[in-house]
Amino acid sequence: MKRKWILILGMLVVLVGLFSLDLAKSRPRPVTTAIRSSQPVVSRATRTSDQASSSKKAANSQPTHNSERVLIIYYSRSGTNYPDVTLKHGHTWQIAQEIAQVTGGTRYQIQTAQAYPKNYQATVDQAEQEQQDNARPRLKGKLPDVTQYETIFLGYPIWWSDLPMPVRTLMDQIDLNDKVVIPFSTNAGSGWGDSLTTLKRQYPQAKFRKGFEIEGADVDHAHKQIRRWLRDLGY
Amino acid sequence: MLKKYPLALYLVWLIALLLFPAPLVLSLNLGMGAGNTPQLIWIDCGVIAYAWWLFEVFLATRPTWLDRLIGLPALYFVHGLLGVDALLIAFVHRNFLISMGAQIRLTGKVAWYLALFGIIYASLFMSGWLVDRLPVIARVKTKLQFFFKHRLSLWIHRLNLVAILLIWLHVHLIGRVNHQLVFMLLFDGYTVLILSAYLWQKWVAPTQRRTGQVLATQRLNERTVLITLVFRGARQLFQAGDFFFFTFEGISREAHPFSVVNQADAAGEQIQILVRSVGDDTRKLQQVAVGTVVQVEGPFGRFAAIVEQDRRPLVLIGLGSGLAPLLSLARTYLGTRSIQVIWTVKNDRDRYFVTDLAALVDPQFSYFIQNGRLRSEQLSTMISPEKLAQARFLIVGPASAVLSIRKMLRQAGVPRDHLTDERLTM
Ligand SMILES: Cc1cc2nc3c(=O)[nH]c(=O)nc-3n(C[C@H](O)[C@H](O)[C@H](O)COP(=O)(O)OP(=O)(O)OC[C@H]3O[C@@H](n4cnc5c(N)ncnc54)[C@H](O)[C@@H]3O)c2cc1C
Ligand SMILES: Cc1cc2nc3c(=O)[nH]c(=O)nc-3n(C[C@H](O)[C@H](O)[C@H](O)COP(=O)(O)O)c2cc1C
Repeated sequence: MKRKWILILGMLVVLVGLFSLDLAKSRPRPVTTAIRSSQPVVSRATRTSDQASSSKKAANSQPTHNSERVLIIYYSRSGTNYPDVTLKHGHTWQIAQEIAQVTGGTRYQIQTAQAYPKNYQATVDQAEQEQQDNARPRLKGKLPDVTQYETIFLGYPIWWSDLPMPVRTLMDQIDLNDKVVIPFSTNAGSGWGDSLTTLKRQYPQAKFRKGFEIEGADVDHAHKQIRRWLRDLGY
Repeated sequence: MLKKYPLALYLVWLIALLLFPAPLVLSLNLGMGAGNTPQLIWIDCGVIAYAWWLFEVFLATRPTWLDRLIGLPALYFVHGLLGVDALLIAFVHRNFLISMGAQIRLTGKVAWYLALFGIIYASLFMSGWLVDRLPVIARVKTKLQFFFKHRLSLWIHRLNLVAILLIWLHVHLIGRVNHQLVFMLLFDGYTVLILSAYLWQKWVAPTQRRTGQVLATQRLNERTVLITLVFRGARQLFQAGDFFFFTFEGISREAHPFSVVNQADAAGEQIQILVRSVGDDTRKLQQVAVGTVVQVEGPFGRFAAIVEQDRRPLVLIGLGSGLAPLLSLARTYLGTRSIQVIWTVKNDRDRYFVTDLAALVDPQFSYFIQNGRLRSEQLSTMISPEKLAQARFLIVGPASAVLSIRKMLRQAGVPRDHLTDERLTM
């Protein structure tokens, strides 16, 4: 008899516990997530006073106002992509493109000296290994000169819940402390993963502004979302 | 064609394969939106595999009401086949679905390999699928059984529960899935309910089982004992030919199945069983003391239900100790129809039921005892052509012998749905 009630009670407790866990997890995740540094959304250093005080409309009407100061660094993989699509340009590339159109910023694409395998799973496996080894794959071409920019959009796909290691190679070599950094990223369900923490650890002095994160498969339909995000940032 | 099995069995398959997983699959697909997630179908495969695994656990609680509908062997067959299906579809899931979370992959992978091991082990040690058909494997099993006793096998089989918990964790770790509220509520609800049902059967139900005592024992020969058990105050304990799972206090904590030997209606408070020594526990039972406390789970079995479907003559073929439930049937249905008993034994010392058979007197009753196996040419001389065409055949004994007799009877023209058997292994 006693066992019966222990079991029933135990079952109810577990059920209630799990259901509340499920409820907690299900709160809609915002499409975009912000990391804030100690500074409020707009930082002094990056904004000329007219820009900072201008309304959104004003910013929109002068889209190129700040253009020389915006650099869009991104990494993106073309070819076979998740899930089973072949892309001429990667998902993250598409967002970078959109940002460049709106902000008039300069694009810089990170490229590895040695291309990743064409085969998707092989890339995934290699990326896993690189992450476990904390590797820094060599990059192709000259690094961007960031001194002339104040705002850096940094874009990357989520690989194994974090930044792809080639992006880490670049990050080790250019210093974005004291810049305004706006992350954007595509993924297949991991959201930002741990990438924001990694970024923040690398550039503790940078001013991070509200980033943009989306599942790669949704990028095609994300014009509006991207524009809204940029508008909210003042572009 | 559908007549071959009870309708309930088709229903069980329908529920197991489709209806049980459906709410999970639907809620997930509606939540994630079929258009947006091209890999949804591979995710669904994983969900279905999990639902099948849960259903298997439910079957493992061997509900007596379900046994009455489809029979325990069919129940375990569904249990086993679902396990194989789940493993296959889980393979599709992990082969096509790309996942990047290290823990997600790890939990999924370990669970899959555990399940794979579980199936290989179970099909060798816990089912007759291979052992009853391939003598080589039967020999391997007999050798290994020195170490892998049935009791150890049960514990090894329970590793499947670990696999289920791993998959539970696996699902909770997946970001795109764990915020689908309806799905997650169902998922956790299913899991908790089924695991509770399992715990109920293992931990609560034993305290509620019927308890009796050993009333008398009679050694029939050096390897066989007839045990009479009494359950005071009980009525209608069983139907003819049923079996129970018995746990004898002080002998072993494991429950062993044995068939009733006595007549159903006359039994009153008593159950009589025949125990042949084949392993540790059955050896100890040869000397079980009068007064030993016994718990029973059951009754199980479908013989009475099948026999009572119609008024066909009965041919009861018992192989060794397999005569036990058939004797119960013969005693119960004596005089109601034509009954022919065929009993094969190893040697003269094993003819312990000869007086019991001789005591059954009825113009429509006959019996035949033989040392050594039946040969196929014997069947046509022993059993009349009308009986071969009309009678219901019940065969009980060790699995491989049962299978070979089934084959002989089929060749002699007995329709498949006139054949029912019980194999003394599970
Ligand atoms: C439906 C049914 C009815 C049976 N009726 C009788 C009967 O009337 N008289 C009789 O002597 N024997 C009967 N048996 C067989 C009997 O249950 C086993 O011989 C007994 O459980 C062996 O236990 P052990 O510990 O001595 O042997 P072990 O060394 O543990 O095992 C010997 C063999 O028995 C099987 N076995 C062991 N434990 C179980 C269990 N809990 N459930 C199923 N199989 C098991 C194993 O497959 C193993 O190969 C019946 C079996 C079944 C399935
Ligand atoms: C090596 C590799 C690892 C990945 N790891 C993850 C991951 O951990 N989580 C995730 O959600 N998506 C992961 N993805 C999927 C990508 O993040 C997603 O498809 C992204 O949109 C690809 O962007 P791109 O086309 O710009 O390269 C991974 C993809 C690759 C190639």
